[in-house]
Amino acid sequence: MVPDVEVSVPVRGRAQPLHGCTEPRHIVRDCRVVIEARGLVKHYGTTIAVDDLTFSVRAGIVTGFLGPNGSGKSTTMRMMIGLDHPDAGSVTIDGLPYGEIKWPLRQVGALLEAKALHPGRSARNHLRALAASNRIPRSRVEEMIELVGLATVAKKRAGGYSLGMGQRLGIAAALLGDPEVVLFDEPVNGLDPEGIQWVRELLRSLAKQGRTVFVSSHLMSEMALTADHVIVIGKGKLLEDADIGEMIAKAGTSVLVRSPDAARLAEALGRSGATVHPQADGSLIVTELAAAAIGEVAAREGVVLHELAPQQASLEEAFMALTKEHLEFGHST
Amino acid sequence: MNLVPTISSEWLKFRSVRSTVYALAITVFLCVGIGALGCFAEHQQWPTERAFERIAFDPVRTSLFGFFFAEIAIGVIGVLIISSEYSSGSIRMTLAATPRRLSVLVSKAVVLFTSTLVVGEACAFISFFVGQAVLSPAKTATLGTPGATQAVFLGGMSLALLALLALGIATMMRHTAGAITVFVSLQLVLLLIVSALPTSWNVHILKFLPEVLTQSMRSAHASGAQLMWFSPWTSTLVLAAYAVASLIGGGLLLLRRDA
Repeated sequence: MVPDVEVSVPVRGRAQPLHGCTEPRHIVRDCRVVIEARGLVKHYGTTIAVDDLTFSVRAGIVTGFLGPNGSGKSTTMRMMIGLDHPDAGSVTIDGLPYGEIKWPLRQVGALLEAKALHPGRSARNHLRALAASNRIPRSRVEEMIELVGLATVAKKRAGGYSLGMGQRLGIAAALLGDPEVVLFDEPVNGLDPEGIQWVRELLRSLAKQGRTVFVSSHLMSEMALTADHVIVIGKGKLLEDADIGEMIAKAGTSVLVRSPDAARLAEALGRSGATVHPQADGSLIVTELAAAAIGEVAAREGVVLHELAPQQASLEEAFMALTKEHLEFGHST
Repeated sequence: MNLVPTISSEWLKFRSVRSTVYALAITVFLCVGIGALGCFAEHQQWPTERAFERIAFDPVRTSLFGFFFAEIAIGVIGVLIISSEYSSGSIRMTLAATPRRLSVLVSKAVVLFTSTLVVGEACAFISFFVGQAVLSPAKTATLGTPGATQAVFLGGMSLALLALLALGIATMMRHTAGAITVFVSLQLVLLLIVSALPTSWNVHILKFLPEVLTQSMRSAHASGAQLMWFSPWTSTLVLAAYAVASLIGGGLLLLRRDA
């Protein structure tokens, strides 16, 4: 029942403007700024959930919003759509506070939490009620039910839906008004691998259509697969605001080397300025020297190489390092 | 401010859950069934009643006896229309779709008032006719009897006003159980407490209680202690004022609080 291969979002009366972002992964800076958060602050009692957060989100790319659980992601997203009132600062979408948008569902689609719907109401009626509130045609409801693969259960009471089905219904609700801006809070939570793949492709295709896609996650690896740009927060503070390429570059690279004469090679590499970390299995992890240079050193020393493999330092590690001091376990916001 | 889209959305939500339909059905059952039961009891006692009792007897109010119980069911409907959104989390979707929060509350109030007024009036008129049929040959009333049509009409209206009062309470409280407790306390517990006070005090207080106001509204004529109550129309205005006050309180909190 999962339309996992082709994800095409039906587009109503749109001339497919790409805002100059035809190759989103490469020219992020040229994309139009759509969402602007300035100095957002939010306290809950004495704890500070969001601490002077300023960032912008651009059209035509997927912007990842990363942070450990409880770092203020959901609070920020709730402030974006006017559910929570910021203690200070503001956030605008296309220059307007959310509350001043005439038909908000037609401009901004938000997925906040799975199963935020009355357990006694069917998916179809849930979507119809939302459509009615923003004068969205009923035909759109059926299109969305098809898109997310809920056609067979659309008549059933939502109380019986699985987490994944609730998530799909939430996505259907978010896309109901054919919005320019899409805000997804942890959209892959509760989805099976097939569903996760489907969401990734959906996000990418929405961005390709020129929409502004802002998606939160606590998993860097998830963002590495979908996002063009990431905004990382910890304890409500902005930690990083960078293109995914910059993040990878910052994470650094290392080279895995195997040699029957590891000790001699390690010594030679050390003399050439590399940092060598001998591993338990006899291999070496070498940093601060490129693979080519390591090969040349080995040739010069006459050392046989069994393996010479550049390692992409994991983004997850970079993210962990970035947020380590900011980890705060507790309730998810 | 165009409320039509919000109202149509709220109307769809209101009728698309079974609990609403069940609660309305229970309301009708309580009104008509218990009203008929009350009339049957009076029908049995009538031959042994003395003259002053017969004069004081109000066949209209007796036929609407079931309203005393139906008021609780109506209160539950008024509470659930918003508290279920808080318990399920769907209030966030609702407010995201309609960020002008007062529009949401006003639309809910319009849908609730209209549907409970229709059901309330249906209950009142059916209970009245069934009740009079059961009462006979004891004293009965027709719609032509002085005060009868007004009492039946205001009886139906009292349910709609109580539903609004419950909606306001639930908007302030946000929790189903808490809001129902407060509503039932206002309706019944307060009545018990005030009734237990010395008569010289409670005659001044009783008339302000929601339950006494609704009893006054569904009375065709007053006698005895009822003479101290507000007239049916004044009672209607006081109850309406309670409903409006609770909605204003709910509206202010809805605007101020995070969703």
